[in-house]
Amino acid sequence: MGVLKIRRLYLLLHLRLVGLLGLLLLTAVAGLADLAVGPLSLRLEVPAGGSGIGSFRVHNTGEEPIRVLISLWDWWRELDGKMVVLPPGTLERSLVPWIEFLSPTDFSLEPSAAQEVNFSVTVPEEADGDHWALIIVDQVIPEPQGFQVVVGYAIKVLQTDPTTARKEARITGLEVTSLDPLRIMITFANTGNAHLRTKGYLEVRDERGETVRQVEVEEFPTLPGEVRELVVEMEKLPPGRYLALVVLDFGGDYLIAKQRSFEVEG
Amino acid sequence: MKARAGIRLLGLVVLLFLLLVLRALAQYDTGWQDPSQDMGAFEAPFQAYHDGGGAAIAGRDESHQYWGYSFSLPAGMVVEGIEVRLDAWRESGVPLAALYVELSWDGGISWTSTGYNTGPLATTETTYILGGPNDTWGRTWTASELSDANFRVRITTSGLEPGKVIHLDWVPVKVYYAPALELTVIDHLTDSTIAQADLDSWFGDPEQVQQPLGSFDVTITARVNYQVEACYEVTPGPSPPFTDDPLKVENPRDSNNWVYLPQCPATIQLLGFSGTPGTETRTYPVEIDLSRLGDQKGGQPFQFTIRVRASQL
Repeated sequence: MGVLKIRRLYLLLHLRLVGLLGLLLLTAVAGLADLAVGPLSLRLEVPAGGSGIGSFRVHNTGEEPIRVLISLWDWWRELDGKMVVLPPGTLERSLVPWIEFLSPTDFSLEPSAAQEVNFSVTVPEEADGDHWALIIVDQVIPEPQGFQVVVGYAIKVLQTDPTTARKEARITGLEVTSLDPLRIMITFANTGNAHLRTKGYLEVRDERGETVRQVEVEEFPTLPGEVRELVVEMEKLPPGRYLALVVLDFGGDYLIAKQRSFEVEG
Repeated sequence: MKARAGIRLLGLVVLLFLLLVLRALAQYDTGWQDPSQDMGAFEAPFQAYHDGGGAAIAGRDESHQYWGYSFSLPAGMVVEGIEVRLDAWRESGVPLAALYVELSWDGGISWTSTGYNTGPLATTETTYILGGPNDTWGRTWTASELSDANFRVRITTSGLEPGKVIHLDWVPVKVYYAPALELTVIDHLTDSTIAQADLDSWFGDPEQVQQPLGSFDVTITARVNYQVEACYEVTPGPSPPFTDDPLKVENPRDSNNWVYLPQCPATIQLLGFSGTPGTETRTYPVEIDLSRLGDQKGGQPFQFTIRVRASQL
């Protein structure tokens, strides 16, 4: 028991002392291996049966040589727009099987050096609509020691097909979620097979039909099949009956709109 | 004695913080690029292509365009500023003589409306720099707008009397650019290893089960909306597997809120960043939950790597 206690104390002290020393020493030397990658979003127009080339640049902005590893993944967006990384090939519209790297995917970079990474996208004849993938660029620690942190970047690759893409969307919900401040949640669904960039406005009209609040809905992207919830916040309203109206332009042949009446009680 | 040590430590921290900020604000430029084409009313306009060797001559209320700057910006960079340099001088007798400069992004169809000018010119050759490293002349520039086909500089004279001229020796342009997203991590984590056989003594002791491992600082300089995620990797793979993910980080905005990191490739969003353009630094204390390591008796040390990744939203 005594031996165990001493051992525990020793280990505790060891961890804490090393932590403290790490704070003092590593602060001076760590973080020198830095990585910059760009662009972080690539849009390639490749029709079914066609092929295209994409490229990005990996730059060692630090002061130590680094090793870089590049890998392919799927990704999805959650209702709030946050990205989720998924194993490659998970999604029906995964672009991963059609991407081939034309440059090394595992390489070293000296300080200040940069490497252009090229890849091809070959879309089969029978493909329909838009597809997407994620390229992850990670720093690799050759011989990891204990605990360490490394940086990486995720590059979104969007393939668009100008011949078969159908831009379709719906506003599936418009809910007042708070009156003070006034919060209205718009639920938008990309119901087509194309990547969309959507923007618009939301306005609130009083009983006389006069617009009392108007807010721009900033442009947001969606993937085919994606549903997005957007929360718009405005100054609270005086008591009365109102109509909320949202109008969105998703780049299709028509605008979409939805309205909902609500009451602010005195 | 303690106070002196404290001051030294504070000085060190300030120095390192400044170093970090300076590193985070890394910016690149194209250097001064010469024009190679021109059009307009100036005499001998080609003399303003290069420094020295003669000067273009600009008369009263005359305008001239220069282009063909052949900028070379790496892919994915964001233009942060544009400088136009005018090496010029006026004749005597026209104290208000000046040059006005506008930029075009579509081959001379549209022009910036920022109205930059040199102010009254000197009578000897003087360098005037319009714009700046963080001045985009009132608009957002794309790489294609800086191409030879699209980017143009228009120079117009002002304040001249009939028969008087302005001499223009050189009209180069410099473009400042930076990555859309720069992520820097400073690692203050312990470099000791977790050897499972050594940890047996901690199991069952609730006070010792959460062990601090230090912290790491994440600095992000963003010109776009972004998110930052994290996960961990462990080598060698534990056998039997951990009972659950053992590493957790503290929410920098709530010291009572700790979030367990998932094993890569799953990730969680690192809390505390606004996700909007700007430079932000957050510190993440890290702990290991020893109760989640399972019954590892092999004595094999484990190395943990925390991956912090940035992506554009």
